[in-house]
Amino acid sequence: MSLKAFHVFFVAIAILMCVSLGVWGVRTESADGSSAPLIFAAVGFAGAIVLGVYGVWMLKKLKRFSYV
Amino acid sequence: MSATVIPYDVKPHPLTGMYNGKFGIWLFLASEIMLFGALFSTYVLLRVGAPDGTWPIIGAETTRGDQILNVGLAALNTAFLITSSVTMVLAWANLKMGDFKKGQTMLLVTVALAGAFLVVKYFEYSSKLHHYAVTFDEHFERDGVESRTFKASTDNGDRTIHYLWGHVEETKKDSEGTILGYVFAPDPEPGHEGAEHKKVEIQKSEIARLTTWGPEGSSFLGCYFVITGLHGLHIVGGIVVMLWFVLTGSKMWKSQPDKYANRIECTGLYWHFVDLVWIFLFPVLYLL
Repeated sequence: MSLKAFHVFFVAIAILMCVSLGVWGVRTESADGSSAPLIFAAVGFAGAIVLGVYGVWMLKKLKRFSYV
Repeated sequence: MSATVIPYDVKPHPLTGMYNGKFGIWLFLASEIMLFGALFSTYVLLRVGAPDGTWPIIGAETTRGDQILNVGLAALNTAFLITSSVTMVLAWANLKMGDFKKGQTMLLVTVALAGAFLVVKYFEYSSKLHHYAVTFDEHFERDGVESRTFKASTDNGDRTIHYLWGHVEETKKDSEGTILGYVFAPDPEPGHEGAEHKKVEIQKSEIARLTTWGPEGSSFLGCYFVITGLHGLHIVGGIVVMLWFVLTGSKMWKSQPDKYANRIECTGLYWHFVDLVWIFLFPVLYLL
């Protein structure tokens, strides 16, 4: 497996992690009533979108590189 | 004396389909998966077996790590590492396309992001090592400060634990240097974070146990420091290797550019593994 293939796998896992952070933030109640979990939710969902866009750009840029 | 030539360091080996360096780094990463896998398993087993209210620390209201860990700093570190993986791939891609200068610049940016991760980790560790849990044998009340109570079910029956979380502001000693007690600043009650911080003097004889939120603080904190500490050492290892290539890469690039790009690919595979470990550590330790 080349670095390209590992990077594609890594970005996919990172997107899942960002979505998880978003879901965690929406479902978690803050102990002190602050809006911190909702901020983390927004950051998580935004991160997932940014990584998705980057993933498409990266696949185009590394088109001629092997997956092996 | 003839120099030894290492075969298949650029072209793929006919049996494995990849050059020997890449095959070697994957074998190494397989052993790393076993190492971190054992530590993750240990964490899961300790957590599942922990009595109610003792995970992540005695007196905790839920089992989530975010009660005692800083999710904001961890999220920032996650962003640093994900970005560093991007710059690592860009370093390799630029070298493969023949642009040495851009490749080296991206490698240097990766080193900077790894350094930023370690700086944030230092502040995170420091805050834990300067935060204390004090446990009393009996209920403690003085100067408006009252110990919290936790009822633990143990194999030897139920036990009531009286405790406070906070910071040691001052250590009281006699003329011979023997510790007499502490000036302790307890954390505000949950929901009263904005309240004025109180201070109270606690005699040493009143304390059953005084410990930091370091590795000795609880099973969770022990796991946290061991796993993140080992991960941090891997970050340091990556920085050393990348700095080596930043400082010495031009010589090999001039004579064997393909071999140099392959070395950066192997470094990138290692770096992605280290980042992937953190991607799993972040939700497991901080969020769940």
